[in-house]
Amino acid sequence: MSEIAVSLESIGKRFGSVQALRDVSLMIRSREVIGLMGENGSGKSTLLKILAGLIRPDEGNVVVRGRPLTKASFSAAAKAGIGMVFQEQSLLLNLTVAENIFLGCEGEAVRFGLYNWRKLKEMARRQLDKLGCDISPDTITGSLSFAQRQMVELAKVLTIEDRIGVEPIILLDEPTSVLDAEEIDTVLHQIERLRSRASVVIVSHRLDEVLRVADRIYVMTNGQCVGERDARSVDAEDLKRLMLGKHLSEQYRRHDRPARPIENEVRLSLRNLAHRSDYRDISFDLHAGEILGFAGVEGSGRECVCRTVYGAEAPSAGEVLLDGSVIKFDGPADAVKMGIAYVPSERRIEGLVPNMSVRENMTLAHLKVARRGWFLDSQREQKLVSQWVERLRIKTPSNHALAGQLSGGNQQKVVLAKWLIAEHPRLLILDHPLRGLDIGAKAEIFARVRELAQNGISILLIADTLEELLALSDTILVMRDGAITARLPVGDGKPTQMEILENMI
Amino acid sequence: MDRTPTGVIQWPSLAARDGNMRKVIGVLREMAVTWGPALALVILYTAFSIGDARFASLANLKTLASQSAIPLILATGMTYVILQGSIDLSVEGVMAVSSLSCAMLLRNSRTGFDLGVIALLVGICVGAMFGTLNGILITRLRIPSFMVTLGIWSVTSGIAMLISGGQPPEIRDMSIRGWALGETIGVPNLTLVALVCLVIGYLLQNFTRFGRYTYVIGGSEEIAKLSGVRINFYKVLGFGLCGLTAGLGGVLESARLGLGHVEIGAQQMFLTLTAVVIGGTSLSGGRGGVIQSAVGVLILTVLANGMIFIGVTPYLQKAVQGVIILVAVVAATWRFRARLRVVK
Amino acid sequence: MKKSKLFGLIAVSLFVGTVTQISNASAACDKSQIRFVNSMREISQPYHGDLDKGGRLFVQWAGLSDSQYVLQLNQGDTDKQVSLMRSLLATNPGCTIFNVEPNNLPAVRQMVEIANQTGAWIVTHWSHPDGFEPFNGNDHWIGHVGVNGLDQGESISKELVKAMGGEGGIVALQGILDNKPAQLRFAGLKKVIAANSKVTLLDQQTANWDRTQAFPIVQAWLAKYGDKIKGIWAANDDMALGAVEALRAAGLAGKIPVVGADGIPAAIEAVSKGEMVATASTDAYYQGSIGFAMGYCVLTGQVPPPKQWTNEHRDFYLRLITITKDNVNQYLKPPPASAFAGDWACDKIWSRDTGAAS
Repeated sequence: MSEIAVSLESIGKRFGSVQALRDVSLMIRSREVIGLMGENGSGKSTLLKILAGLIRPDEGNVVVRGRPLTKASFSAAAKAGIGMVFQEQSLLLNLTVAENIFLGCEGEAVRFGLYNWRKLKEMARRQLDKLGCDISPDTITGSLSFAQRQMVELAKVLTIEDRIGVEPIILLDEPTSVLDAEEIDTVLHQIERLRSRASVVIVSHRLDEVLRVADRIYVMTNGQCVGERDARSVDAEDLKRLMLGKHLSEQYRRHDRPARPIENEVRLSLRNLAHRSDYRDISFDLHAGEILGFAGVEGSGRECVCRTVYGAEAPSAGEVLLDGSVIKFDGPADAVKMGIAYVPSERRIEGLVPNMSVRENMTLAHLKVARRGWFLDSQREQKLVSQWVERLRIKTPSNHALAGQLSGGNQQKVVLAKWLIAEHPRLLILDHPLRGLDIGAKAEIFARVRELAQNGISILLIADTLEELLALSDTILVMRDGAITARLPVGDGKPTQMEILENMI
Repeated sequence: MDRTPTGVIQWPSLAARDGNMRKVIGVLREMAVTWGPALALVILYTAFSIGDARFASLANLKTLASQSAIPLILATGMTYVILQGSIDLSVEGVMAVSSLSCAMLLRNSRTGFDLGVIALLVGICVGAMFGTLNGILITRLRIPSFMVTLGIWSVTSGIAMLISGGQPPEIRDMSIRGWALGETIGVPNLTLVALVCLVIGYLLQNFTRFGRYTYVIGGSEEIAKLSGVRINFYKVLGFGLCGLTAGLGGVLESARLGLGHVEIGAQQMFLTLTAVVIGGTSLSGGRGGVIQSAVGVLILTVLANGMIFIGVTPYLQKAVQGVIILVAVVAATWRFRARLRVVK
Repeated sequence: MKKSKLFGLIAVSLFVGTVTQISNASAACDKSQIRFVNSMREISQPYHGDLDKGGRLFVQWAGLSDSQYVLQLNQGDTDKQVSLMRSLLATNPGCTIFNVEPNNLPAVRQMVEIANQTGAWIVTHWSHPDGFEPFNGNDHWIGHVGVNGLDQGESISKELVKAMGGEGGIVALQGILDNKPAQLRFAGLKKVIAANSKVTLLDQQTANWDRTQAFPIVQAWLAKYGDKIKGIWAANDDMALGAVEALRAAGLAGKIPVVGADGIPAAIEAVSKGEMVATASTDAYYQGSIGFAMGYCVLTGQVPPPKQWTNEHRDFYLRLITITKDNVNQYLKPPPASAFAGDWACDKIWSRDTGAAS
């Protein structure tokens, strides 16, 4: 086959106490499409960012056409011919398509600081034509659909070949996660076309997509590259097995926990719930004391369902019943009043006030616990907070340290404590509660969540990995593309991860 | 990391996804944002004309043109700063220094100078200088523009007071005064200057790297940095331009009133900011432009002038103005409400 | 017996104490020891500049050193005005005279009380709180020189109506609407209009005392009323001058009579050119110096202590000067000190007293 465009040699990367990548080696030939697969948190995005120069690896080298990249910077990578299409798109929505494509490197279209719009549009047209894309170069980018923006991103990356005269290496981070079926098809079609002029690395959750476009597939688990397969001859079952990994961490084992009868009383009931195009026809019952795990890839709609239950998004059809009565709320504040607690995954914007102290953050929503009459009993507050800091092993210089200064995992623990410190809610929604936590803290939170369930609290859970989900849930609900595909009771080693995965992708 | 932007509702995607109805609503909304302020201007103008026919007379049209001249100049510069997502609060102080330095160099009641047009240029340059100083302090010291320009406001007011020393120089250069008060083919000369400013502002905005990168910086400094845009350079240019227009405004106001004065720009900063915002330029940067700001200026001018015509009592005028500004701002920012909604 | 002796001793020492205090307070200051303090808002306006100049002029006229003159500016901050006074009085309070343009009414009370406590001397201008008078036991408050805003408004209005030939429409530029002098001056205008049946008030707007803001308002009036406007009344000279410039832009300067108040130099110049008809001056030079003259006469013992003065001499409205083209020549240049000899001499310090203020 053809020459090697890029090779990664023994890449290692740590974030704090978490080893994100360990000894990863892979290579990309020119005009080859590489699929990079793995569960959430397996390190594939980190790997991509290292390739794009956004993150500097702790160990190992990125070698482009035989030359190691010495500087880890986006522009250095671009000079070597590597361009990335970002998942959170990197286009300026207030500018025209043409400007976005050539931002920072307008070339002949700008002379002495003066714009030659005709020239710029002509150049943009040429880039878009490469993709066979009929978006007008003077459209304002914000008025395009996500799929169209994806095209513009691709066109932007393709300018590399004109600029530096080599075939570009294009990195695509989940290019289809926010698109609908038709749009996905367009994007995949583009990737197939790109094969004639570039190397492509695509990260995706969807097996069918990867199998369709990729030549070779690398599979990652727990920060390691565990397998390389030829896409034309690979067996899907084989890939799934690789992704799940051979080992299951011992402390997650489902049967560590004594089987426990579910109380009969229905706490939460969803009836034919739908929300625009995000999900439809969702119905299920959640009993008191039951832990219901949601399985599904990003974009399957499971987060959105949780947000609806929490009152953050109004459903467009259907109803939600709490303890038998239909609830209607105007927002999360109402949900809190009704005893629904939500631990969000994006703690920065949803759960944590970064410039308030750890203590203030913890007692923010439930000052009641530390109140005596009209006044705040600061001694009691202090004691409670210290108790939780110790219990969750939150690493903080003091209770007065600003929450924003803590590491990500510790921030997540503060958010958890914020809800656990209160008198017990009726329904607890945990959206990726374990993200970014180390093993010890995970075990701590596991135990605590079980304890809560035993006290009769119902729990809706979204977890990062299937093993986490299996270890905690009484029932697993699988979603794909906005609909429930399976409801699987958990017990005696069933269901297997494979069964769940099959319903997910 | 695997993330979908769950905290933000992205309206454009809805328009693209949910069929034609949504698309039509989206287009209408877009049009409302683009044409809303202009429509408001037309409505105001028509309403006042109905209220008092003399409002629509040629004489008053000339008056409106003359009254909007200096705010138009100020708003042109301010638009750039706001497009970049910054703010310039020093306008009044810079106008004062420019006004006084210019007045002291023209034939005047205080000094022996008589430099004519050169004095005007000096005044304008002084403005540009302080504007550039704003920009340099903001980019080098990485202090928010709000703080820096507030400081420079005080500094420039102080300098102006020092120059004035309690005796505001009366300008005695009658040729310059005559020009500032005069008109050419029926259009007040200052209005012509303002129009030239506006045209230059528009050309800069659309046909130069400075103008386009102003939008880039306002859109996202992160992306700008990633794309290798020299953010600091263009920010200094933006503030320099704003200072230049403030200087020009101060000089022209002085020439018109025949006075170099510390308070020559009194209330202009607030007026300019208001005009820029109700014209549709977003305070968070990246959206809007000088033409929009010009519409904003005209709305405020028509409003102030029209209230005199239809006889709104002076005791109420401020309140009426406030209400109309509030309505305009709410209308202009309505579509962003959803985007700003973040769940806690 | 012993007791009465003791009483006697105490009585004597009390008496001695009182005597020393009195002598300290009134006639015991060496000329070169006296400090003259002008306390005012700022000096960016010509009016305040002239207050300052008036004060300096007096110190020179009295043959004293410039270093004895102190200027205190508070930028409109009442707390600052009071604290500046207090800090200066750490030394030599008994020989310090304050000539005060008070920021507001509470400032008057606070500053007078400081004077009473420390033994410093104070003369206030413009207005004071109702019922709080120098002669109500405030022995160190030498006097209050009030300005009658109603008179001010009335005198210029009369000149305006005269220039209009007794008939036609007037437009009026008001000061800050909730400001007392602004209201009084406007009341003066209304009084004159009421007395002249052929004169009407077409419109009134506020330009907040400001020249820049007056300009567009007058432009709008010209477009709205055209030649119905026979006279423009402004509550101060700054706004009047803004009106003159708006008239100039329309080619009407000098053709429509304009009046203002305060008597700032530019307005006086405009009167001499015929672009303004009249301005009513309080005479800032006089206001900036008369307190010093009074205090100087008291501290050098040339007049009796203030508490022996009549009430009219301690709280009065000063005589205003209406400047028109008839008398404008004498006000065109900064006055020489000699022009005030008739006001500053110790036997003439009440020369502009028009009688008790209400």
